[in-house]
Amino acid sequence: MTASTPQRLRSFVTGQVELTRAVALALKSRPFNPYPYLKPFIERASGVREPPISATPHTVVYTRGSMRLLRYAAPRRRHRTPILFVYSLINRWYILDFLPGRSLIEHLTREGYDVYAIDWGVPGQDEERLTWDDLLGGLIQTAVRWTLRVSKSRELTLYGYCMGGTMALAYTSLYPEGVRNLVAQATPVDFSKGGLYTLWTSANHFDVDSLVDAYGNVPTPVLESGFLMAAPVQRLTRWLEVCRRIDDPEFVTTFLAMERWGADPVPFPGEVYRQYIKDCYQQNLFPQGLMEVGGERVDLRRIQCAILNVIAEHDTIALPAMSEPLPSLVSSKDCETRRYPVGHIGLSASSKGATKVWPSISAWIGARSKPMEP
Amino acid sequence: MSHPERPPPSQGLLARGLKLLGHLTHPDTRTGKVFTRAEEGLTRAAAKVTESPAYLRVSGSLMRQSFNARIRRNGLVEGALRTLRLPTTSEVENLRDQLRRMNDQVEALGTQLELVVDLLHRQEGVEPEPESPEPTPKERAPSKRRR
Repeated sequence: MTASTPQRLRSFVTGQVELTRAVALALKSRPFNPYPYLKPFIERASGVREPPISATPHTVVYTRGSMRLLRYAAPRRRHRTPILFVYSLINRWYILDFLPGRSLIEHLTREGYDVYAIDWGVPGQDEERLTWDDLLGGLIQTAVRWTLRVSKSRELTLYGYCMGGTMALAYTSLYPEGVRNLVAQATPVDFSKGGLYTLWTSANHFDVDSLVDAYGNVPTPVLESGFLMAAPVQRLTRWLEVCRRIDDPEFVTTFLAMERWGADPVPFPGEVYRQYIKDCYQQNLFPQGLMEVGGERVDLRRIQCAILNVIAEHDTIALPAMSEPLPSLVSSKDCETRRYPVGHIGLSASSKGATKVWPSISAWIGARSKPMEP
Repeated sequence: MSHPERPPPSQGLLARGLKLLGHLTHPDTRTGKVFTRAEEGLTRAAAKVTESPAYLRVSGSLMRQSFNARIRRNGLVEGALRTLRLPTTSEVENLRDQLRRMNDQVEALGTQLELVVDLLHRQEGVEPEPESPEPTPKERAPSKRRR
């Protein structure tokens, strides 16, 4: 039986009202990202709704300020050594748990790892004065302790992604105890090779002091405008692909999930940003062992644990040239670089991730982790 | 695939319009070829502009001026609100943050208590109740918090 004309009319009017409301809401907050403006049209046309965020079951183990330590327990734990993810401060951690069946965290838990992830949350006023010392010696160190305590292990695998990799390296250099293995995924190390981002943040025309003094934390529109300017045309034209494949719910779901994550930046803690831009992008002190945190130099030569340097060959954010020097800067005897034909985000969310990247990384970690006692 | 009672949403006018737009801009079509050339040209132009020293100098100077203006304006507004004994915007935001964090702390406290109980059981030599291969803490549904 077909729907009656009044029913169809009512459905049509309701749909239009919902659409107008969603667009009006987006216009009110006026973000740079096209996602809030275009999402209602795609949802309406495809009938697909936004997927849930981080669908893998997890618990909150610890919180401090805006930071939360999340635990993703393995359904059947096989490794005593847990994995702790340190994600970047620029976007949200949930790209690591992207979609069911397409999630790095889910993959690792199924492989028998007890997985933990730091969610930096949404920095507020309390985080404006947070320093690198608070970040490494306070937040990450506490996260490491809680991870070891809850997983009943003495050592862990620290897994840093993007800027999180830089933080993980700095942390291991200052506090090597308890870090058995380190995975540095798409990690900027040599900031002189950062391409556009190195150019834009140059001290000649970028006054990071006035930005941090004006806002406290770096606001999301400032961060978003940087990413927008890096690929202004593609930011819009990539939506044409979803128009072509509007009949493919799987594609639409993946596309919306990816765009939603990209449109969900968080403010960057002001003082951490100030030092990051000055010491890393403007003076490139990090690879030279001259960056100081809490009065101590971050010397990568102090790192002796096993390291996996993961490079995305098509990365346009942390260019491969930024990560390549890592093995020559650390003292680890077991340091390996693996390259994958994907982009920056593709390492953790592409279809190739599940088939080519994650099994390879998981095998590397597995070979260096303690098994569960019988 | 069609359903007699409820046509799939992709059959709607909006879906057809979007598909047409996608088709017209597809690199295999004549219009798409023009569109692709225009896209490439715009990308090249944008890259040229964003890397030019003149653009960097001008945008850098404009940004610095706007940041400094904001610093002055914030100082004036917050000063005036304090004089009037009204809560400032940053104070209200701070309060909202504190409430959200308290919610997280309560959630974490549950997990931590489970851990403490588990440790106490061990110290007392009491065998904890048999459970799944994973010890504490028990799994819950994914947290709904996003912001």
